[in-house]
Amino acid sequence: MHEILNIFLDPLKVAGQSIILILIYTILFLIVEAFVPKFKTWADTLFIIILVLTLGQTVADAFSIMGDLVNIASDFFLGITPILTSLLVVLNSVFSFIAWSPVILFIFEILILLCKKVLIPAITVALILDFCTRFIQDISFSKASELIRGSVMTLITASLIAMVTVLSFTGVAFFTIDQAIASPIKKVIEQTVPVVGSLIVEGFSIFHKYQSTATTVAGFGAMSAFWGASFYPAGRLLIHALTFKFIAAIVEPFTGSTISGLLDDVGKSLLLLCAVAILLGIAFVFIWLILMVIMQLGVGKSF
Amino acid sequence: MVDINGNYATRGGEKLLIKLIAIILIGKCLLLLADEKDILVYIKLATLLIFITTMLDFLKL
Repeated sequence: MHEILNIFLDPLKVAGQSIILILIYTILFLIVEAFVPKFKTWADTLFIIILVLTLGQTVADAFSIMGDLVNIASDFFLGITPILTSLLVVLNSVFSFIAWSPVILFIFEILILLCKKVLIPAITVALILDFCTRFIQDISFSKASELIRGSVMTLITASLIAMVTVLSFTGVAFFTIDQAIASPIKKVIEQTVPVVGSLIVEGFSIFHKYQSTATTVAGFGAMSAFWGASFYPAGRLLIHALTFKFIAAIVEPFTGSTISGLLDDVGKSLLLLCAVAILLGIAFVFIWLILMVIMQLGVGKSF
Repeated sequence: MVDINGNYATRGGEKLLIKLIAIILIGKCLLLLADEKDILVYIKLATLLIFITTMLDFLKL
């Protein structure tokens, strides 16, 4: 039990440690600046270097989580595709009953390909350009990094729209939350956390149709563990991203725009990683739920 | 050069980023030590040259 609890507490501990460390560094820099005013010219540069050394591990951790997740998802989809396509042929009536379209598999495969070949390298480049921009402010690469982040975000949104459109079109997704309630909530979440917020609302409404059936088959405990495992990487990435945003907010009044801007940019990039992790989690859960429904509907059939 | 997996662009990108970080770090050190804004032009020039040479290398020209 203690180990399971640690899985969820560890990211929070790392976040807390990072926040405390940066606060201590801020205090130290302010003290040195107060006693040695000439130090101010070097302070920003040194602070950025210390930030990179201190929080670089967290960023690397976020990228390794994403890399692992993409590899696992890639293997999972590679393994599950033959099974699903075979089932598609054998249990044609079941598939027509649940109104599932094989195009979804294609969209998931594209998503994985995008993550492997585009997302991780693009965000790394954006982070390095942000670092260069903040390091020498007269040479700005901010437009390039924003372009990269914007393009990646567009690709992710396009994948999401494609997925939701296909699901809605085939009748799999229907929104159980009342629109009158859902719309304002979605807007508020979207404004607070762009992309990720809308992903959560859209994604969770997709599963409602299968949830009860799957819970009957697998049991509540198994389903909870399964949901937890699917969205754990996304949750961890979200904690990392919000840590950076939080540190940027705390540090801004005391250090100036350069350092808080850099931290905010890193937070934005990690939020993008989180959005993709949520999408992959949704894809993962969706395929499992489909399999569970097929299992239940296919039991007793003579084929 | 193309690597073992045929990832030409990735290798080119890595080289470019390493060069970019190097020039930015050296440039910042020079800016701090010399305390003159004139050096900025040379740093910009060096950065642009790196971009162009990497691009030419990438396009095999």
